[in-house]
Amino acid sequence: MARIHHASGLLTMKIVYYGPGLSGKTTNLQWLHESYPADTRGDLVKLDTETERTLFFDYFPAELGMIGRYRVKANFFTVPGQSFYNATRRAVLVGADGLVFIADSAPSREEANLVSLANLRENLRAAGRDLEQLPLVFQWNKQDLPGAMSPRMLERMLNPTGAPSFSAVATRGEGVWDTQVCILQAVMERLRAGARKGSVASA
Amino acid sequence: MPEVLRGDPGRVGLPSVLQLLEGEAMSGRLALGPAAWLDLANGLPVAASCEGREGRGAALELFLLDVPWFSFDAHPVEAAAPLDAMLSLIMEGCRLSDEWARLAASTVQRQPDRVEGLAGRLLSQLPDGACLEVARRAAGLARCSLVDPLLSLVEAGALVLGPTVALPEPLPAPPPAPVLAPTPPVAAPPPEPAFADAFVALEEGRRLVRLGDLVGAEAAFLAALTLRPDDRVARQNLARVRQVLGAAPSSSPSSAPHRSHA
Repeated sequence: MARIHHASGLLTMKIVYYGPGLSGKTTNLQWLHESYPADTRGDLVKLDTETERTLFFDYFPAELGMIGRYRVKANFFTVPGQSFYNATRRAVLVGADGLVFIADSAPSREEANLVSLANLRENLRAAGRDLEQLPLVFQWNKQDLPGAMSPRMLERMLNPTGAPSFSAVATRGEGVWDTQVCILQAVMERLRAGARKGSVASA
Repeated sequence: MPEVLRGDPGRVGLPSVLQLLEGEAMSGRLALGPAAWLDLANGLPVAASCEGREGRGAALELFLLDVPWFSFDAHPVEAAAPLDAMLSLIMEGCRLSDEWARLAASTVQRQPDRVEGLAGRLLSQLPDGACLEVARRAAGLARCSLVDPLLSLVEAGALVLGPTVALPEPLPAPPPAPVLAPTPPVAAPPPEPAFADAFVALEEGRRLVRLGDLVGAEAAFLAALTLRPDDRVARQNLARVRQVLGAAPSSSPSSAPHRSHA
């Protein structure tokens, strides 16, 4: 849940990039990290396993600007995609304000996308949250692959409720920034609504 | 000294509890069952104890415990060097938990004749057909210390895992105390100098990387790794810096030449 610290004038939100292994979550974060001016971003933390057998998780904070007298900061996270890292995915999801689901457009990854989305739904449910109640943006990544599933097909498969979605080639940065802007806007809109209801944590 | 939180870790996970306590900058003791605890000073983890172990390893082992209750007593805790950043602790603890979950029930199909270290102690306790968790209990080893040595052996092809079997029943846990007696303030133990220095050295290395001083960063990461040889982040950063510098990687921090900071 987003936090407002009145004394320091800071509003912090948490954005989690979810999706199957190797779908491009890390590439999205790397590209975003490089896109933010150096004085507004923190280090990109990449925690790999000891032998780098798999990229484990990534994180970086970025200052987005000012809203009134408040500095707005976003913490961007990825989850590890491999199926056996589920406790870790649940930990990353704690307190998420917005979700980006990075789908792999390769036809061979159709089932992996479905399994990952079902896993996201289940992990949120275990924490008493509902995917439909959270700001969510889809990204159809790797659209440059030969034989890539079309956005229309992916929409039908993964996004029946019509959440915002973007085609992307994250390795070239295409669609990465737009996806991020969309989720930040959705979260801010949710925060405004929450603030009216008094459901934003403050300190 | 008020108990401000109590719950079932099966319903509210340790990462959630820790992120809440960090966000609220709480000080006090988080007890996980009767025999494990983590002290926080202003939301930072400064001391831990778990199954007779202390320090960061104990804090990581907390994520692998199966305990029926947790409680948090708020009281002043002397500020000390953190065991780790809370985010790193949570992510590493969860990773180890996930990795152990897939290792614990595995039997061993083939193992090397001789294995050094903790993995060797574990494998020497492995009865035929039993799973790794059985051997771990017999050897009295912490799960978090076994995960990476075992995975390294598996990756190298030296250890071949067999089918999984049913895990043995967990040892019965003592019943939760209905109401915890107020705990007197416990001063955090003095920081482990190696950890504190390693943490500082790691941060310094990162700072120098940002400044482009890779030689200085290499020295800082090497110092961190010498002080805390199992620090994965320091090892990775050192390897990457050396890759950029074109230096040959060293197999152990103690044998590596220590470059002076230019």
